[in-house]
Amino acid sequence: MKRLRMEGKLVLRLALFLYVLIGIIVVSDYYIYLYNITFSPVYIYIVFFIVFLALLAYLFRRRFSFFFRYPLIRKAVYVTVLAPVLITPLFRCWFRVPYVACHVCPRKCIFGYMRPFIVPSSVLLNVNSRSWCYNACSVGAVSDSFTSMRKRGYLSLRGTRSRRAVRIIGIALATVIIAVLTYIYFALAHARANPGVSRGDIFTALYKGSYSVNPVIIAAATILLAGAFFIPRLWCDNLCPIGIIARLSLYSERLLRRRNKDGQKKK
Amino acid sequence: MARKRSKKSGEGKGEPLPKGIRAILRKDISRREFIKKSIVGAGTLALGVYSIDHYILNRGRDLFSGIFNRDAPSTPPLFSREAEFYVKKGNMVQCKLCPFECILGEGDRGHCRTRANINGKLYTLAYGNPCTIHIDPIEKKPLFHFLPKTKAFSLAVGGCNLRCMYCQNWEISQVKPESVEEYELPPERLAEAASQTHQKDNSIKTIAYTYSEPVAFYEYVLDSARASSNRGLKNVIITSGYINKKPLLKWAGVVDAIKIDLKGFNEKFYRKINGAELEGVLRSIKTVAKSRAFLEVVNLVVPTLNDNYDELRQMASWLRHNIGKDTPLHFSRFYPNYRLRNLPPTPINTLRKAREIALDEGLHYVYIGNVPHDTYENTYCPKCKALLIERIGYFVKKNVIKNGRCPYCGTKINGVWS
Repeated sequence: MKRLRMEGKLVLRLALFLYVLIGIIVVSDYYIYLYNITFSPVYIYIVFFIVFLALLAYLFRRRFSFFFRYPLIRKAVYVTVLAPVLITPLFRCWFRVPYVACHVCPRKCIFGYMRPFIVPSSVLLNVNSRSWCYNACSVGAVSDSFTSMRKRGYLSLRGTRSRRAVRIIGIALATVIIAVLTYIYFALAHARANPGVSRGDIFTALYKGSYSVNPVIIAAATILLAGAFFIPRLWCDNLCPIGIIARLSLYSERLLRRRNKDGQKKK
Repeated sequence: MARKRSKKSGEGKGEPLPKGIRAILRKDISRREFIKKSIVGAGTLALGVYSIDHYILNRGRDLFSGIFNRDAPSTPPLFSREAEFYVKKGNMVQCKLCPFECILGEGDRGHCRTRANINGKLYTLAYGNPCTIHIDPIEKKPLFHFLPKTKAFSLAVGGCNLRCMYCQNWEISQVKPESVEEYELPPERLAEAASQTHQKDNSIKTIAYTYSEPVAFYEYVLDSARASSNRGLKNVIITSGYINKKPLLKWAGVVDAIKIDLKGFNEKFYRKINGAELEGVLRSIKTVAKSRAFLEVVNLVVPTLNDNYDELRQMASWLRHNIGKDTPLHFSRFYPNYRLRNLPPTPINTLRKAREIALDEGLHYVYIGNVPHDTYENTYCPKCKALLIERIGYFVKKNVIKNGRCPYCGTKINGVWS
């Protein structure tokens, strides 16, 4: 058990190492090398392969039993392969806020290019007990890495009175974030499709006009991820759209779960 | 029990039930699990179809909407040559000519439409193939302090790295070079043609790279300028100035004058209306000001978009402090064109007020353009206010400047006068 925990920590440290490494590469002038690698068909097909493999393994659990045999190796592979896709926009983006405007991006990075594939597949994988968030997401692994560093117990509301209130606030916040992101998605698409002469549209507000590093975003992302040192999965459960969707679906699933006559939840 | 299960699963009753339903009936998976797996199965199928269509069959269809995927010719065109200022990374190249710094995969064409990755090398497609050639007065460029009353052998090649919504020459700037009718005129032949024209008409002293955007035909300008300066002709570039420092310095080393369009002094305006960044243009203005090439700056005043007096004051102040008070500044009148037909022409009073502001900020030579028969097209001595050059439209009626100085008070007038 202890060995397993150690190995788990190693995977999480690997994620943190990749976060820093990719950060340095993308911030420096060498980002073109990462660009070159990530846009090679080999890399793109590897991403397809591992994501479809995970989906098929969930659908056909018996036939793909090998997939579940070495969870740590599997997680290490997923975290490593997906790290360039998921982490790159944090360090360099055409927009002031990364991830949100890829559909209108003039020149997409690998995340922008893969977003129509990555986002639906992560939502689908999360149907199975958030398996994307816990096993494949590199950003989630970085967040978990900070949690694993804490030796004492972290902040938890379990067993406290305010737990229910915090949960309701969390769900309300999650709903607002999803609503705002949906609005931004369509507003950006509209602004891009109708380049009028009006000032102050959302595209102009977000677009930087250069593929540049934004230290504010890097600092904010690092602080949010490092916040997992105090509150586990601070970013993943409360702000990441994929995590929020998974959280909301799990919550609604729990609400829909019917109860027996004796009050116990049905399967 | 076995018999009961057989009945439940519907075996022996004609059509067998689907496997999933049979699994539920056998209680192998719960109904919830079945619904989840159905959702994931349908989603996976849809995702698979989408991925094959989007990423494999039409690979990179929307990749870099700013560049043109798989749009490069299979072989370089007739006079095309390998581009300057690019770095090679595997089979990809990154152009380093302008601040866009396009990253092009094999077979891709850059944002400017004139540079393409052909077999892992960056080629300029705008070389030796001008789409338009005219003889214009130099005042039309506008260059008011550069050999007044002379004419320029003016040419352009299709393509531009900007996306100005009011472009006057969008028919040639917003197209690929090969999409418009072309002349076959490599640099040597161009220099020869210009030289012959100069021999016929002595007032033609300059070759002007203008109309579209010379950055898009950078190498052609460079080689033509070298070839023609050997024949005693001068070279001027009319550009938006959205170019990196190194290539600009190389240009400044071979041409005699550069006119830069400072389209506004507002970052948002630049991004939205021109598809570029203000910072890059300001850097270019400073670079040219420090070089040997003579500089003039033009600002097209577009009503409601960049005619804010505070911004105009900031611009004039910036020019005064960064390139000096003697650099000529032109405020040009906007006329509705291309994708900005909904706006009226710039009111003349706005232009006059802009000129007043710039003079107030300490600039010596401020002109109003695109307004024929306006007295503000004339050059006055900054010290004694005497009329030095009288212009009517593009034509010079009177020029009294002698040896680059005011004949009345002897003040040196910034410019290239002979």
